[in-house]
Amino acid sequence: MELLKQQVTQTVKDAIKGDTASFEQLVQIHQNRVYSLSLRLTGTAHDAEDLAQEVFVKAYRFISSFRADADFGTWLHRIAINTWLNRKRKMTPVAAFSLDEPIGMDEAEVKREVADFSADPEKVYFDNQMSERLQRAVESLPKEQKAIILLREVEDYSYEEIAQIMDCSVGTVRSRLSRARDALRKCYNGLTEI
Amino acid sequence: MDCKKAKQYMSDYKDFRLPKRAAIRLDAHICGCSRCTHEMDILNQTSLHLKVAYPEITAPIGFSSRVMSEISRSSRRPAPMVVPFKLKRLLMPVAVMAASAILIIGLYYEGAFMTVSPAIEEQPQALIEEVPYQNGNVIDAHNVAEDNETAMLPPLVLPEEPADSELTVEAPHKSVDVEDNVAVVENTPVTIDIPAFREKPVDHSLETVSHIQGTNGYTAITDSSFVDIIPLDERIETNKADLTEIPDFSIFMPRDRIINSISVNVFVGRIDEALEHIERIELLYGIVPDMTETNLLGDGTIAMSRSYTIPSKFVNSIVVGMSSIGAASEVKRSSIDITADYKEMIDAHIKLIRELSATGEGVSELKDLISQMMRLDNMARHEVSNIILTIEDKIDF
Repeated sequence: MELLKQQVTQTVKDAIKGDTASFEQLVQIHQNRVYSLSLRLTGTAHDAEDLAQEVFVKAYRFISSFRADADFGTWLHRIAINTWLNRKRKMTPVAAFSLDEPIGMDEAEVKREVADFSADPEKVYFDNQMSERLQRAVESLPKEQKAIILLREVEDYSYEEIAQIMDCSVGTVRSRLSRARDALRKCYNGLTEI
Repeated sequence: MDCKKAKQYMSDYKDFRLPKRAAIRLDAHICGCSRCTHEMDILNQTSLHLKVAYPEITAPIGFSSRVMSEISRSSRRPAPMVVPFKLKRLLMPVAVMAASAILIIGLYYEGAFMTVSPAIEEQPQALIEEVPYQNGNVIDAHNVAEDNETAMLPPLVLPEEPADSELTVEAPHKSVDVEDNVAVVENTPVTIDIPAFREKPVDHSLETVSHIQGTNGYTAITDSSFVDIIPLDERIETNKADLTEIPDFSIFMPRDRIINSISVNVFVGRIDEALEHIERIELLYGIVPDMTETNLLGDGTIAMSRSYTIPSKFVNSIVVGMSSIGAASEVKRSSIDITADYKEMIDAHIKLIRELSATGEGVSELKDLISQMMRLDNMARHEVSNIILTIEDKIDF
């Protein structure tokens, strides 16, 4: 494990020196986590790939500013979050549609569906519903809260790491996380009470 | 401590961030308050469900290649690039092939970027390579595949530097031929054009051969281990939006911005057993597979996968049904984001069908359109079937 870590650190150092092959190795090592986070943030595969690609292109451009002893993965996530937040800020506010709102069709109405990953037949229905509701609830959170809840609950980052990624204080992380959890808790309560 | 304060503390408490004294007070409150006990339980349950709702997802195949291509296109480079001996790139994709081998099952048809050869009959060695576009449900096959890496991939032995511009390599790739719809696979040496190879982007392909059968009867063979070393001009780079331009290549085509897709993968060696149940479910819900894949894996075993686009109202039932098949190794459901162009095309077709149905004119054109739509996907089929029900007494189908 330690050896692997040393190898990765050396790869980062080589990439900083401008070795493209080393950078490509880093892309391969980190692509799944960066893509996963991008997909969670953007919600569509197309946007996720676009965002993830921009993350690596930016990382390549600015790799000389990266400290080799820091965590390269955390740095990439920081770029991902910042890029996504900037994109969201630049976007003109548009009317959001509810995922509960059916897709309009002449003959019938079809409910929008979001991705589901269950495979256990006995739990599948409840899990489907729960996952969909939670994804919708996460989508409806303010963007900073959404980022923090994903980093904490899904990516398992510590408060300090989140503060570093989001460029804010630990106190801000705590308060935003608390508010986000409160909103999700209400959503969960809503489903279990049905 | 009152319930309002307790609720405020719960998030910090959950993450062991609450000061000890406050944590003790909250503990005491929760023990005596069923409502707050329930709220704390909900908080923990929400965390668990979030992990289920957002599983680890594998980046699309070929993603790193696209990143590196984009980087090489970019004019802003941090330092002069050191280009290593490019033959190293031959080894890298082969290593990644094994790591991704399992991944291929059930993912092909979701590809946004594909390399297709429409004239597959005349060109049996032409290839299809499909890279997953939306793979929210991608299985994480890396750990499994890495274990099999040695068994599946004989090592490549290459000289340090090729003396000539051409090099013949006893590579673990396969040549493919089609006889009676069966892929015949043989190991054959391949001649690599080194200069051309050096220009070619790395493509992380898979050590597997796939026999893909589409809705409209087209068939295609892929040999992913071979993809990396065939000349680029033998393939047609395209993407989903362009597929409608290719004759005889009607493939799963979703009809709205978000579409439900299900794929069922079958345990290796239990295909017959699974098919019996799968076909029963297909009959029950009136669905047909958009694509059936039979994969000949690197170790010689055969795996099968079927993919469907599903009307939303049936999704949960079909997922449950497919999941209950003992021989199904995995049932994946995904939502796929599709191109606006495709949606426009389908909407225009449906509109025209409705207009022609209403006026009763252009019966021949109407039949053609319906025939086209019926070949597209299950969603289109269901919608068109509904129209047919309203006009079948007027028009003889």
